[in-house]
Amino acid sequence: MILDPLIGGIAMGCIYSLIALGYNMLIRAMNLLHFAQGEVMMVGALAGVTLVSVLHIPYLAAIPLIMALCAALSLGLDTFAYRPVRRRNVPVINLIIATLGVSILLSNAAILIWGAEPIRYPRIYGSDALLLGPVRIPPQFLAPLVVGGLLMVGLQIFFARSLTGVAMRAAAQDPEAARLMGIDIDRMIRYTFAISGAMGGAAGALLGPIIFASFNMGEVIGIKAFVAATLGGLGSMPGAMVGGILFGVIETFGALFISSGYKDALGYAVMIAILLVAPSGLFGRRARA
Amino acid sequence: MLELDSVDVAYGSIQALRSVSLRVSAGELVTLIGANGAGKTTTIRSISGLLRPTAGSIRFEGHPIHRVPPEAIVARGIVQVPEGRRIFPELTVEENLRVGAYLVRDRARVAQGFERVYTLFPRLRERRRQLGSTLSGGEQQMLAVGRALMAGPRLLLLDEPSLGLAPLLVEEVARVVTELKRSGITILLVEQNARLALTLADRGYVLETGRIVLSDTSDRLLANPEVQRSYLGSSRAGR
Ligand SMILES: Nc1ncnc2c1ncn2[C@@H]1O[C@H](COP(=O)(O)OP(=O)(O)OP(=O)(O)O)[C@@H](O)[C@H]1O
Ligand SMILES: [Mg+2]
Repeated sequence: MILDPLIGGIAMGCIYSLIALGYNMLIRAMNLLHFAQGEVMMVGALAGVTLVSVLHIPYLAAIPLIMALCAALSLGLDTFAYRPVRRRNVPVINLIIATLGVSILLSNAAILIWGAEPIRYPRIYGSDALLLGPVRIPPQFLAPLVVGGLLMVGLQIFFARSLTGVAMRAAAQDPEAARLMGIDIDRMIRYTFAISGAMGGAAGALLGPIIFASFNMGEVIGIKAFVAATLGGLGSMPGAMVGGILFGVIETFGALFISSGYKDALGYAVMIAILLVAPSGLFGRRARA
Repeated sequence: MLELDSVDVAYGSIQALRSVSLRVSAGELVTLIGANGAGKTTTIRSISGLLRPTAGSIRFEGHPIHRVPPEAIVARGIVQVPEGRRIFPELTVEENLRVGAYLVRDRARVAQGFERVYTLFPRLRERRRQLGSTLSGGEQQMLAVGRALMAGPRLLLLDEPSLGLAPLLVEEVARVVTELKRSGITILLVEQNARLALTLADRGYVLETGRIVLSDTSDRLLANPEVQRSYLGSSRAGR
């Protein structure tokens, strides 16, 4: 059945989308490529294991806790690592290198806390698939589809409807003009970090039960999500969502029709192809400095 | 209401303003004219808190504001319509206006603001769902003014509102500025179009390479031979 891998691909894609949203929000708000985005997701996945296996918190209740934790983590990274660098008015490349340092720091901290061995989530899902007519949704893909989908819709509504969301968009488009409207740019940047952290945390919580959670999962997944963000268009919110889902589907079908051995390589091949055809991605409106 | 006292502003080692002093009283429409690069925008940006004077003081209603950040200056009632409009291109007209009222907490006042702006600029009401980037230059200028009005300013700083507009739209700007003044808003109008500015304003200051070289009532400035030669002649400076 062609529908089964499609469902699986979309589910993985939703997870990539959540991480890609984090990348793109920060790129849009401050031209920052946040290399530690994948590691924030990793902390979410591992913290999820602790919450669910050790503290026996129900999985669905753990997801918002993990999101809050990762929002706080991301905010903390900004406050204690990036803000001091930003204050010096250094070129943005220095800041990007700082995010690389932070990603290594987070991986090492994760080894100290959770060890270097991959950890399996406790059995969360039953084995019965949900049947919707001809569509069969395996239980482990249900949460990414539903929770991921809801989060993305919620985020869209937040940016479209709430005053804070609109102000964040304004601040990203023209920070100085936004200040002239009384918008506190620093605060908008803090919100951006918090939300991108929360999205990363949700991705980790959703991914943990599908693959093993481990200190180095942020690297591979983080790069894939970045490819997804590039595919959709760096800095674009719809681009992150569509790019993530598209990437998940391409990857799954690639593994199916070519070879699962080439699964990871296929993603990059696709990225290179797309960048040759549409260098700014599907939703990239303009090149950004 | 607004007082600049011996303000110096520098960009690195380039001194852009030298000992600029000017005053705007409540209810007045004052203009600041000068050629390209005279320092008009620099003055406006200093008042808004985007630039810090290296010397001198800026006071608003008696309180020093030259160390206050731009966000807090807006909260005090000084709102700027920046040079080049600077509307948010990817927000709709309505969103641009809503963001203008970012600091207004009272919903009823926000609704009144929308009504006021849409009455002043019916065109914006028609275009309210359109993205800012799709507006014409004249409409963008209306939007920039409307967005500033949404904040409920007591002192409005206008930086070259007529720049790049066709003659008919320049007249529209003149109408709006007059109307705003009549509604009780104090205005500091920066213009290269000195004739327009002096026709509208009560008083004017002339800025030349960072210094105030003349200050008088508009009528007398219009009659001043030096002003006529430098700013009102057929070969208008820099244009
Ligand atoms: N960011 C900057 N860095 C360095 N110098 C600047 C900067 N902005 C302005 N200047 C210089 O300061 C002086 C005053 O510029 P300002 O923009 O205030 O002039 P203006 O009167 O508004 O001119 P215009 O009519 O062209 O808008 C000019 O000599 C300009 O070159
Ligand atoms: Mg100027």
